[in-house]
Amino acid sequence: MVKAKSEWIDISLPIYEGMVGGPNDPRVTVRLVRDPAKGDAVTMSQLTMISHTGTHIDAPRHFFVDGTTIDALPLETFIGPARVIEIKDTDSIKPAELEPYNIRAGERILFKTKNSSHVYDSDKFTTPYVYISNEAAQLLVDKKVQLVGIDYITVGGYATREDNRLVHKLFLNGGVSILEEVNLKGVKPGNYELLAVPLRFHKLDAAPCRAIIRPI
Amino acid sequence: MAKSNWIDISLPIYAGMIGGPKDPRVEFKLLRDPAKGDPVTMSQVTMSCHSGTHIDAPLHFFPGSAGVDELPLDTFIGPAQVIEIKDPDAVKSAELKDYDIRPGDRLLFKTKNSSWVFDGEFFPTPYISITIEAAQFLVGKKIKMVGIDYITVGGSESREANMTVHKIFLDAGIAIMEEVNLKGVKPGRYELNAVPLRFRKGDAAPCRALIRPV
Repeated sequence: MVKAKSEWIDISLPIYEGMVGGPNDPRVTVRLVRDPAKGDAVTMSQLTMISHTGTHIDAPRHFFVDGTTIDALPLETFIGPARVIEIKDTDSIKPAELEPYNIRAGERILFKTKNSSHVYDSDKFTTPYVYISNEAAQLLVDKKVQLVGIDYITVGGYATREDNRLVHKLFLNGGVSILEEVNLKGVKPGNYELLAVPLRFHKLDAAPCRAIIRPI
Repeated sequence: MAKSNWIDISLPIYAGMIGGPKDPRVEFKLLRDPAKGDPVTMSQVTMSCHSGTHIDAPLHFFPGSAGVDELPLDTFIGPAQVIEIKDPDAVKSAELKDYDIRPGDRLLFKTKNSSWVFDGEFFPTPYISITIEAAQFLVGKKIKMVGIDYITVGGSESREANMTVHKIFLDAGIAIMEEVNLKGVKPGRYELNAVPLRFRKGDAAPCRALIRPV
């Protein structure tokens, strides 16, 4: 059978022991619970990871004690058209740079920043990184986008924890889903179909997902 | 917004959820807790990579073979057929012969398991799974993927048969999806989305499995 080459592009990070994580968060560990080298019939591993490991979706519960949990978010948020926008600003995403893009209600926007070119080369948490400014977050909420994705661990800045939290809260309170830690290295700006449905973690604050896109 | 027509056939993942009798259970730990003064809620999850709805990679049975992160993405996205199995004991080729099974098909077997097995603490026996001869029949049909509503695809005849059935599928390049819940799902043609987590060199990985009618 002739097999067509896949058009899907994997924008997820590989998950492995010691992979990059937030500066105060425990890293992923992997334990082999069945090992053929020790006489077991199969290989079986066990993962210990935070709910924000690798490419993942933040639920409102992460910031709001009564907020919606990851398993209660609508599935279609994570399936459908998405736009990759390349950000030239090397500091942060600001409203001025977004203006020409004519962002519309219901869009899923993935920001390809300078981060994608280097941040994932190391397992160390890297600063500075390009983030979404408070003003740009407010603009995206006002535009009523459906989902915002970024190519590092957090959508918000690193200078103060308050600003970082504010950006998350603006999105989550504004009904905008947050996709963090996508890798857009080598991805051309433009229109894609996105698949990034998170694991069904019961009543948790976030969950990892396999995020893939293909051109449309 | 239009009502979603996606059907979630994944199991919810939670501490102490159903698993194999000898496998470690899923554990949740609250790492950051607003009730204790933390600004956010953050959890840590410990789980076997075969916890909940998941994909088995060849590495699960064949040391040195492909990990779950090396499987082609297209395997897990596209047309699928839900086949309702009437046989109360096993999935046998005699029952499958009546169906139009095509090369490249993704087959999800809805057995009597779906009506009851997910309610307990451990996966019960007896259960319905695919016999060795049915697995060989499906290899002959050149299907792309097989899914079942139990923690394992095989073992109806014996414990050894369970190993054999896995090896028959994985050796033939047929992906295995286990622990889908097809309760309430009508037999027929669907679109499937069930791409596993990108667990590097993993012998398996959990996935969020969704279907919608086509």
